[in-house]
Amino acid sequence: MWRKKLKYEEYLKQFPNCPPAYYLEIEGLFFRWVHSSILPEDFTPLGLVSETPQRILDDSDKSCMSYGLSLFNSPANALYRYKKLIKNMRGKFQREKFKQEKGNTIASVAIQNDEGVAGDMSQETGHFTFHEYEGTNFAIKCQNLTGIFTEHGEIKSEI
Amino acid sequence: MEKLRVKYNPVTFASNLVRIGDIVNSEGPLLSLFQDVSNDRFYLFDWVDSGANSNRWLIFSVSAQSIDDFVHKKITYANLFSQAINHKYFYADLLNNQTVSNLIVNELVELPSKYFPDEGNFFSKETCPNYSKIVNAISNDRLGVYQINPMKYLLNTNLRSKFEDRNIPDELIKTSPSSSPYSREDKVKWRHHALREISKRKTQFTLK
Repeated sequence: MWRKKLKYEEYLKQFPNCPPAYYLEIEGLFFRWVHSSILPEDFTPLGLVSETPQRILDDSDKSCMSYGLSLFNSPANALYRYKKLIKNMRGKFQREKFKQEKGNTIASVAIQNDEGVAGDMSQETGHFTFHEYEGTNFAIKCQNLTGIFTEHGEIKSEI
Repeated sequence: MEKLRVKYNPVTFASNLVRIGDIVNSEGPLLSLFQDVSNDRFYLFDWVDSGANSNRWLIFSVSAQSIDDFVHKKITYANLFSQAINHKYFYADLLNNQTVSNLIVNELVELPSKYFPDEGNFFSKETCPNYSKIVNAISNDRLGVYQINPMKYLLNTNLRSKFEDRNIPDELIKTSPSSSPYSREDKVKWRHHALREISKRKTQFTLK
């Protein structure tokens, strides 16, 4: 069992085994998409961002993961995934919505092992889901904001 | 959100829709494939817009061949989009927490230009979490068989609604074919059988 109470427990308990018992406390420097001026929703799980209604087609889309935060193990992986998703957006309109929602910047967060628990990291993308403990606030400690776009509005090729 | 010109003939068409899987997903569906088990048609739900309380989905039917061509990168998404059956596009604004169950949709008179997809956008396996399910559904459709049990979906959707307490009697469930794959003929035969049983046993089952 984990050492501390999880944030958003009232939402997590609607799903069985949420987060899964194999989730572990972690420590290190990780990366997340944010806005250039940090907004409250930058570190709010998707399931709780009131400005952006969740895309749900049936109950299977209501998942435990939507109450966690998406993080990456390197800025390069965060950039690659962002680029990949933007590329797969099927129109300019959707790309703009995506940028509005996810921001245009990559921030680093130094996570301590008493701040929450993480799921498996994808070997391919370096992505994982993190569930915060109560009292954790990444918005006030994130740093090294790096822009995703060049001055010409194109996504950088590397970071 | 964009203002739309719609035909005033709302259609409830989602009672038989089975979600096959997402063709594009990132923290939620962006392009999702459904099949209507009552007529075997495939439908795409394409996320195009969002407002304060809802997400907007364009809904259109495409052939199995078109989807197959798209997932095998023979055509772009713009090509797939333009191959909508009868060039009919519907839309639905799904409120927060609303799902497709018994969805009421409206047909569009015309598509806003902003909702047209870009040219040159090909399928990517990296953002498709349900690739095998989608490919299987398409190939099964060609063979006229199902890996999923369409009888169960019929029971869960339009037949279930015929029962007052929405519970299907066990005796009826037991008569549905249980081995996979299921043929289209099986489905049609069993549906007729189920409807016959329902009408024969009105006294036994509590019907609406």
